Amino acid sequence: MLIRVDPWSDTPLFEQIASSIRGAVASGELTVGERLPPVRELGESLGVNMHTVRAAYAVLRDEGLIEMRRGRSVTVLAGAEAQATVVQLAAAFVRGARRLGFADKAILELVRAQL
Amino acid sequence: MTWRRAVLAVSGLILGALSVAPVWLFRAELPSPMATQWDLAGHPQSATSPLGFGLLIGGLAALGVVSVWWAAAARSLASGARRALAGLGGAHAAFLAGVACQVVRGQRGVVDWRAASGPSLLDLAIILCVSLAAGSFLSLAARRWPGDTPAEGAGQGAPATVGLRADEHAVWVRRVTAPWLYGLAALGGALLVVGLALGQTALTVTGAVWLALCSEMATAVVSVDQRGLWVRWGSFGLWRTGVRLGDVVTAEAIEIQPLEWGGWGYRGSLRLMGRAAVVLRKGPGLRLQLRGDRVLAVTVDDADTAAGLLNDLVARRV
Repeated sequence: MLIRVDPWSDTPLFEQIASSIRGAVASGELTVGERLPPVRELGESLGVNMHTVRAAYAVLRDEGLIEMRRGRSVTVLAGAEAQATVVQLAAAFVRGARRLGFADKAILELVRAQL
Repeated sequence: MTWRRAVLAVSGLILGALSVAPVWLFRAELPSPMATQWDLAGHPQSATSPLGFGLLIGGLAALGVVSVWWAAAARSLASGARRALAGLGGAHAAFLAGVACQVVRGQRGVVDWRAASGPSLLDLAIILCVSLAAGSFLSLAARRWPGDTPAEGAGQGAPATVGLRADEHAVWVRRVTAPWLYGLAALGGALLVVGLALGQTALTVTGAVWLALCSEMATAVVSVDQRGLWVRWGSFGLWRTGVRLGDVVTAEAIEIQPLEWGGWGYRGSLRLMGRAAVVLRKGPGLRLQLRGDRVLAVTVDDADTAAGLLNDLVARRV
């Protein structure tokens, strides 16, 4: 799993980290039960604040990709591969629609119409 | 190179001769049968004819000699395998030659084998040291020969890259496992269960230690970042090894054949041999060319990406 962050990018650092890990889950490189590096270690590796890494992990936890236990390891959850793929699709869709000038409300309605 | 081959061939011959020469030279002065085995207190335990002893020692030593000669003669052998053959074979033959010398020395002029004294523990320790030295010498002689094919696939094409930009930070992490070690761990688990069922403490403890060791050694996490490459062994990463980025010259993805690197596990030594490998399985891996003409190899998937990141990080340092 390759995680890259660019401090000069418009995308927040934690979002960049989360996106790299999500990509690795979606591609099947990170499998169920696989452990992610501890927060402090990943922070040191990337030269970013621990809180940034924690924020990235929180995003992935809220998306249902990983499980974080206090004082214990961070592991990839069952079904994370499909979940990550769908999150990626949704993110790409929203990004594309916004770039084309669609308002968030219109984007929501587009999705609802498809259901 | 021919003179190195000659050194190996001649050394093998000398060691083989040394293992049988003492019995042959002093056969007239030895008791028949002669003592061949002693208990810890130094009392002779069993005996055989001098001819039988010579054949036994010579036959065993021949295995080492053949291995050294193989290293000397083989045309298409990776230098790692050649060093292992020469070093292990040489040490093996040298140890037997030493034992033969000591056993014969202690029995010259003795009439009854029951009165013969055997090699002391100190003797054995000295023999062991000398044979290890001999093995190291032969392993050095087999080290690198001009005309060796770059067996580990050194330096082909452009170095790998991941296109890291100047301001970017990156880390690469990957777990590698040895499936066969989990099999061994399961065996330990079975021992543990049997030990518990039979109430055998020794068996239970053995099984538990076996299980713990094998399952801890069966997995490692390899990571690459701006500090260098690290391998954390086991599920808790208790034991770790690696190299600082400053020591890395280039990195590349290769196919790793465990036997070319001396087998499975942590093989070799960067400090002593200038060559080490973390080998958990056969197949794709990473080969790092380090400063001081040293080489580190690690079996791991997606080695292309790891090599690319390392090369980009190294280029940025310069």
